[in-house]
Amino acid sequence: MTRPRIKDVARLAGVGTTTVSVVLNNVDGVRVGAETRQRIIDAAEQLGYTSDPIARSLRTRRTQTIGFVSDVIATTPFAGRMIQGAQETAWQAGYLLVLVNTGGDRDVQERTVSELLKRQVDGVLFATMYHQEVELPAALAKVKTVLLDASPLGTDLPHVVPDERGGALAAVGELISAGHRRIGFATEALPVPAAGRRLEGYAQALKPAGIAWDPALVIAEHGDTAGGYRAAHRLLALPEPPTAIFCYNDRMAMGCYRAAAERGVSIPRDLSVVGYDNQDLIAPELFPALTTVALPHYEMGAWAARALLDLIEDNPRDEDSRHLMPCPLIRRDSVGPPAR
Amino acid sequence: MTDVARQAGVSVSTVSHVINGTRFVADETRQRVLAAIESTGYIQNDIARSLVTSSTKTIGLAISAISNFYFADLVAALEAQVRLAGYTLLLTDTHDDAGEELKVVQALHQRRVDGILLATEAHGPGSPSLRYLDELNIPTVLVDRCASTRFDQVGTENVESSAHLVLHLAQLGHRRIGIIAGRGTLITSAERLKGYQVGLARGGLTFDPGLVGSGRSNAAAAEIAVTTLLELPDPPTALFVANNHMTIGVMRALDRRGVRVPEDMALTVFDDFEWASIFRPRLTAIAQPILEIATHSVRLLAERISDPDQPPRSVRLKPRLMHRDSCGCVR
Repeated sequence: MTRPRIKDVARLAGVGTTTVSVVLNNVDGVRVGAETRQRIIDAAEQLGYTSDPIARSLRTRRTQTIGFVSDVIATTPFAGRMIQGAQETAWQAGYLLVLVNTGGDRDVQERTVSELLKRQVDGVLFATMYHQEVELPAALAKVKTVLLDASPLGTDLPHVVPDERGGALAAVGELISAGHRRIGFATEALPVPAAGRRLEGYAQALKPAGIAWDPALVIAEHGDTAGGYRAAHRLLALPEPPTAIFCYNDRMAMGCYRAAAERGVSIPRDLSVVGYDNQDLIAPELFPALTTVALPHYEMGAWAARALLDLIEDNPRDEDSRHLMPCPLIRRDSVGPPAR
Repeated sequence: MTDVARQAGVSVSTVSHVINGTRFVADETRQRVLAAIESTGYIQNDIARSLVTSSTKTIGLAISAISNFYFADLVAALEAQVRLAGYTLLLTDTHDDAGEELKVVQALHQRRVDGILLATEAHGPGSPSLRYLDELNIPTVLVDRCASTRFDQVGTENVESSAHLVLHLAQLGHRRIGIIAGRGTLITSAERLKGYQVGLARGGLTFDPGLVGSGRSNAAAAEIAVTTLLELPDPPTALFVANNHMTIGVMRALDRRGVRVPEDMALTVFDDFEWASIFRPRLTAIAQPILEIATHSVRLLAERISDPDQPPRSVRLKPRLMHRDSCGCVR
């Protein structure tokens, strides 16, 4: 495949290559007649000539590419939204994403990052598909890096993570406003940052409402549908069961729905439920539709890409380089006043 | 590189030969060069090298709606295969729009990718992006949507598998079987609609255009299409839904109207997804062979890059039937 060259454009327009370069690169302070200018533009168009980004990158020392390194480009729709946010932001600024999936393996991480550096990416977005604290591959020290849905251990790099505590605070606050006093929390048993922060948010919401902490109301389980199902059964079997359950994620809420149905407990008449994630195929599709907290993956992807582009292009930033992305409450039909 | 050469006490061209393996270099010298590379932190400039070797070892992926979970899986699988083959992947989004698709294809070409994997919006070889790729003879594999035999292409076998699901409904005694069909511009929609007709014919049923709901490949349109079908004087008792997003809309509409699956409405759907087995009832679905699609796509592209003049090939992969409860044959 041969690309049209600047020589071809010059020949077709009947001018010298310098004139073509001046016109097509909009060089200031050089006068070219309007008629000649148009002839060159027409010739370039006709041949499909565009200036060569590869050759240009040798001149500007930028490749206009960003590495997107992630542990898993997983089956969750989350991952896709995050990549999309980063991808669109980069594309609008004239950058492309180089996608690398490391499977979370440290050796692969080091190797792939070195590979990316050989390819002269201008910067790296280092993403995890759910909020984690990570040790960065050593090779990343040589390149501008922003972390996405991850916070760095032992370094101070720019990063964006969801405001887990704020999201939980909003979720439990919603239940308290509806009049609930006995509020269960079906949470993830793994020691991931989100579980810790959401528990803090839960506790923080109870205190000002004068609701005493009751450890029996916090059940740690697998963070999936089956885990939510088991947690809800245990909560609803308590001598004094909760009138509302805050679930660690929408999948646990889905399990909670099934447990409630088996016990003849109607949502939201007998039990109010709030989830987390606002997951596409779950939250709006459950019946009744689930009130939940959104995890703004697209926005996080876009924020991280913007921050990285600013670093690459040396743009001044007034924003903090550590960003807590707000997780807004999405009101649907699963919260009501407690049964009398 | 001059720093490396100086430290190792050799010439720049010797360093180059060591890195690129272009000439024999004595072991002791070699070790010295490698040690110097290590200590100077020299990183090879692939870009500069690509100007000499005219290969960038990159592959461009142009695909729509990365947020669609089927495509998210496909992107992950393609990335893994591309990396195994020694390339890196440049990602672009076509937004399922012909104009945008041409733009990203051109952008990838300008970046001198060695080849392009494209899930095209186009239906037939006349689209601007396909013409561009064809005229410039850019190594290309059409992925998922087999829109033109002028290119190598890899996709799921849509017609027979759709026919199979529709025939299954007919054999369960359904006489009025509807389809919620995808956006007409997509080749996959056309193939699944054709499969629907083939299935009906094999089941001895006549095709009734009134039973074709236009789901336009998204949930909201599918929801409306189902509602329209349910209001027919003689509504369908079974539905074949032609993709994952439309299945969501169909489930929503049926739920809202209190139509029970499979008692009142039997359902078979194209695309399996994580939640298809969690929905109640669990969905009888066609699972696309994502891993195989990725493997074959990257293999064909690598072969196309090394031998650009071979005739184009089409690979159709058989999907897997996930036989569950929504078809109503197991009560």
